[in-house]
Amino acid sequence: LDYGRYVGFTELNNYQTSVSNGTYPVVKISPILSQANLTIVTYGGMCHEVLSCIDELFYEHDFKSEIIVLSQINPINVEVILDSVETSRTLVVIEEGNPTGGISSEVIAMVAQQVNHHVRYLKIGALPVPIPAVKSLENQVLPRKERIIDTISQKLS
Amino acid sequence: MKILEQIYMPQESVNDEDVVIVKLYFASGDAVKNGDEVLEIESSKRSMTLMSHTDGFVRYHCAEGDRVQIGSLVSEIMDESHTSRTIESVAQSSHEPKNATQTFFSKNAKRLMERKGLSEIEFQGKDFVNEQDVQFFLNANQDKSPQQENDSFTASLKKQVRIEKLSAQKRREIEYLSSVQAHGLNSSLSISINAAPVIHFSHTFLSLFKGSLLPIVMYEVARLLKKYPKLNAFYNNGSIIYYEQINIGLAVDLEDHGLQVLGIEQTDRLSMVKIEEEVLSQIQLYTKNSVKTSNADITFTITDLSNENITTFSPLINKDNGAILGISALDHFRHMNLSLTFDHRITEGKYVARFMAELKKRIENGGNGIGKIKK
Repeated sequence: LDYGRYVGFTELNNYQTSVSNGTYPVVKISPILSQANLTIVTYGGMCHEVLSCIDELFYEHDFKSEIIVLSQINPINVEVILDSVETSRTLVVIEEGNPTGGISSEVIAMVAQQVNHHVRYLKIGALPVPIPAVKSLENQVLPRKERIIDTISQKLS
Repeated sequence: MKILEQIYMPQESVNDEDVVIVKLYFASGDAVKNGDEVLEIESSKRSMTLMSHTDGFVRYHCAEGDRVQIGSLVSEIMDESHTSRTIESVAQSSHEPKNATQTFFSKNAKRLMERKGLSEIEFQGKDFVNEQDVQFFLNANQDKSPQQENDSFTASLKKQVRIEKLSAQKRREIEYLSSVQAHGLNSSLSISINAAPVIHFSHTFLSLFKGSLLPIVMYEVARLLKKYPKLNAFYNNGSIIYYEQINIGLAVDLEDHGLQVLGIEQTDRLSMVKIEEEVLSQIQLYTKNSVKTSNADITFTITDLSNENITTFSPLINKDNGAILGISALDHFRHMNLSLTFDHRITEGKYVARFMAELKKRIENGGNGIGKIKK
């Protein structure tokens, strides 16, 4: 999907993958039977980091996640996100970029403008510093599995 | 994409704060036409369908089984299908399992199941089970949990009994009556009334309810409540809430329409003729399922079982009321019992006994006090 990697071709137990039409599709990974109680929107390099979190988010914190992966960030296909949020009522946007004034802010604003019910929102992004070039420091700054799970569980449980 | 129509949950019954979504006739994104039934709901009174009034594509904001607040948005009709430019399931993808390969349980779910003695078999076929799912399962099965304790008893019981799920209307009734009855501090007093003179009056002067004591009792109670405000009040969280107005409600239960309380606003200001007219018009509205007054408007309730040959009974107090008066049937000597159930947290037996004695006096002397009928 991005970074030369594919989404949805890895077997995820009890999840199904849907792909929208178009040149820049949206990929949705959702529980095959259950209604999700957490919508996670992400894109680019964060996608696999997010996918690595969903088992623990469920087992430890009772979240049934629906992951929406964007391959186009302008214009954003907000309808898919709105559909998901209709049932989950909780939206988390996770990105590698700085969350202040970023894509996550834009996604949340677009959803908030159009929903007719209460939704809990959360954005997770890079720490507010320049992204370090050294890999070990970059890992500290970018959202990684542990920080994603901790933030979601602390803010939304 | 434009919204052509928004469908909100209508107030079908004045006593309902929410209704249950029974069926969605389409999937979100499907094309609908003007006049198509979009969804079915079950209120406390009956089931009904909501229709689209335009051609377009439906988009639901609810799911089957949801309990939805009155007045909330349940569906929209759009000018184009949102699914046409969003997600389409990749049905042929080999990466998409059709069924749950196994059921996964969250830590909290497992803990709760262990505490409640539930086995994983109860959730067979599910993909993910979290604590909320287990709680939902427990709530849905709470009525039968005592039976589960003894399987052999349950098995034998199933052969001997027929189990019927309570209707939404009955569940609502239980909810309303439980709010005052649950604390168990209610008490009932009855008094016998010589109704012979007032029956004569009723036959002579009443035009719509000839021979009935109901309008006379309503008339007298409404006036007497001004002197006994504690019976025109209700208990709430350590306080007594007194109503400024006296709006007497009449409990009515006709076939197919369900038990409902019809309110007569400012009953104490109405003449006997007006009370008769109001009761009749409310009953007509009730039979057409279009009663306007809400439960919150009713400050005191009267229930009349005089047509059922009941000699005495203890009526149940309505929600946000402090008392209810029951009218029993006349006996051979033209005597009848009036029974008043009251909330003992608001008042006590002596106060109510005085009220009943005075009410008896007023009704027995009815020919005098209420003879001055104003048209």
